[in-house]
Amino acid sequence: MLAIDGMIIFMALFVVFVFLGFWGGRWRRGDMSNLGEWALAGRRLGTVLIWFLVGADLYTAYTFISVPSGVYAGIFGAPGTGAFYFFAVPYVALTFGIAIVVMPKLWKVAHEKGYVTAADFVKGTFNSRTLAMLVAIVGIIAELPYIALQIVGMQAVIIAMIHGVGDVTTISEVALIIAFVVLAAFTYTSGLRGATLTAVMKDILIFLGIIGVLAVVVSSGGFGSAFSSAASSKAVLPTLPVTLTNAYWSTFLVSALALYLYPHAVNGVLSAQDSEKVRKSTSLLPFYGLGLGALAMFGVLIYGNSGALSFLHQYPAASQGILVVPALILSTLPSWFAGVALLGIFIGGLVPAAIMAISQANLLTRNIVKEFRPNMTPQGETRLSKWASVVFKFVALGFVFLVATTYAIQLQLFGGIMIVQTLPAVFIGLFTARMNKHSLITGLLVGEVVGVYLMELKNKFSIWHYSTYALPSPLGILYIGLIALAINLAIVIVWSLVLPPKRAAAAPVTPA
Amino acid sequence: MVEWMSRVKSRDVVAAVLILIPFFFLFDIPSYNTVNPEWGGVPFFWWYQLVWLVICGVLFFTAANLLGRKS
Repeated sequence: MLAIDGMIIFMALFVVFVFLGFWGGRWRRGDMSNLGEWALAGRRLGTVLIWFLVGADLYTAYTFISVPSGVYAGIFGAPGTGAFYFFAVPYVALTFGIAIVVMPKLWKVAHEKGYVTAADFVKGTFNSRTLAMLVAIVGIIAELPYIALQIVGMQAVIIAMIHGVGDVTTISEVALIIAFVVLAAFTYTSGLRGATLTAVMKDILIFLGIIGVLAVVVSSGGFGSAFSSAASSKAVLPTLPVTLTNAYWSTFLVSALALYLYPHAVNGVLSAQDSEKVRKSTSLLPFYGLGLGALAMFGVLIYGNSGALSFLHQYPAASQGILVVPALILSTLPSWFAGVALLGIFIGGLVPAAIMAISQANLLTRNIVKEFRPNMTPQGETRLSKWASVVFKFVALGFVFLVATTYAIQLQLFGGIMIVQTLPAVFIGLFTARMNKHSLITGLLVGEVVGVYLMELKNKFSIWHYSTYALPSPLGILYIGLIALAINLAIVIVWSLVLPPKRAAAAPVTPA
Repeated sequence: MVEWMSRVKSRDVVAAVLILIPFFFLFDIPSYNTVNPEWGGVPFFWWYQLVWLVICGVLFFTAANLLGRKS
């Protein structure tokens, strides 16, 4: 349990956080009843804030809860294979290389034509309402498990804080509900501006926490002893089993392709002041990934810290993994500092969940509801967006029950399988309009069906532990996202070659 | 086709190469899936990929500046 001074610091900083969230709504004030203002912060965010906002995607519960948990536990049923989950490092290294090519181009087109979402772009480029609505629906669904992952992260912090105080399950549920209501209220009133300011606060607290734990670890034996004790007990082997080589690259490649297709990432990029600022600030984000790498290695580090390890062992294997980072924080840092770091992780789940929910709401109003009710007023649009953002967060809760939380990373990997199927229409659509829109619709749908089916098949239609599949081929085990994307792309390419679109759909996107 | 190729600027080609370098090295998993050389007790597999984060930052920033320059 966190000592009283740590609790006080946690609460005090939480008050500051809430204040920032609400105050953010007034910062650089615009007309908040206008959807562009509320969701894109009036397109006035500069380089530094964009860095934090898009970088906020890096420092979510994915990074400080699910990746360390995966490294700690390894692949389900194959102990010692934690090195597999280190794929998160090449994933974040490479995703920004893709982003600096693709995203400034999307920004330019969006700016010229007034697009706010990827679905807007698809509608304008391929002149297909069906395809645009499909892209919007997929975006909304893919965010749900990602939001669920943030909820798991917040839950981990609460468990660590109130550990030992009576019935942990009940208390953590109550605390989660409170945090959730605050998040909903916070998203509802302040939109992206509030999220940006709190994203800055969150990243500062988390970096303090990482540096604090690393300082303690390095001064007390460091990584060397942790790696050797993890290796000698076969808890985490120092290398990747050779049979997982193709699973490793396919998972980091498709994750890297998927990140900037998520609606929240598109939202973040489109709220920048200009495309070159997006390009430069994005190109520097791999440096930011070093913190992710350090956190991933906390999954090994914990094997060198008997106090933190015995804390974890009080919980069942199916859920103990999420406590890796909170337990290391509690056992190495003074309690006031632990309070600071834990709050960082807590709001590290809250803020991204808010940003993701906002982008879902954007898609719902602009690309789905407005197709049926084109005369909706801007005020009505914003009202619907705000309410939807609250509702989606609750729907996401349902996804939490689809995983054993130690393997919560499967939530994000499932989201990746879904969202990457929009790659042909969105990313390839930026470079060529010579694709048949019917082939894009078919490819997308087939990709989704194959992806979801293989995921369920591999997990025996039960709780998710895996997102890779071994097709009977020399390639062996591959990330399901790659298999589904390959089928999707094959459909689009073959179909478009045989039956090219009658006229280049809309105006080809010209580089500005 | 020829017209298309003539529009490709040499600095775009350089930027593309800079961006592709890390893909090439990180895809070659057997080249780094080893324990040695260790660095401060950390196996090669782990620290090598962290070093690539730094290299990616440098390469991508250079590429971004090349791509962003107005002709």
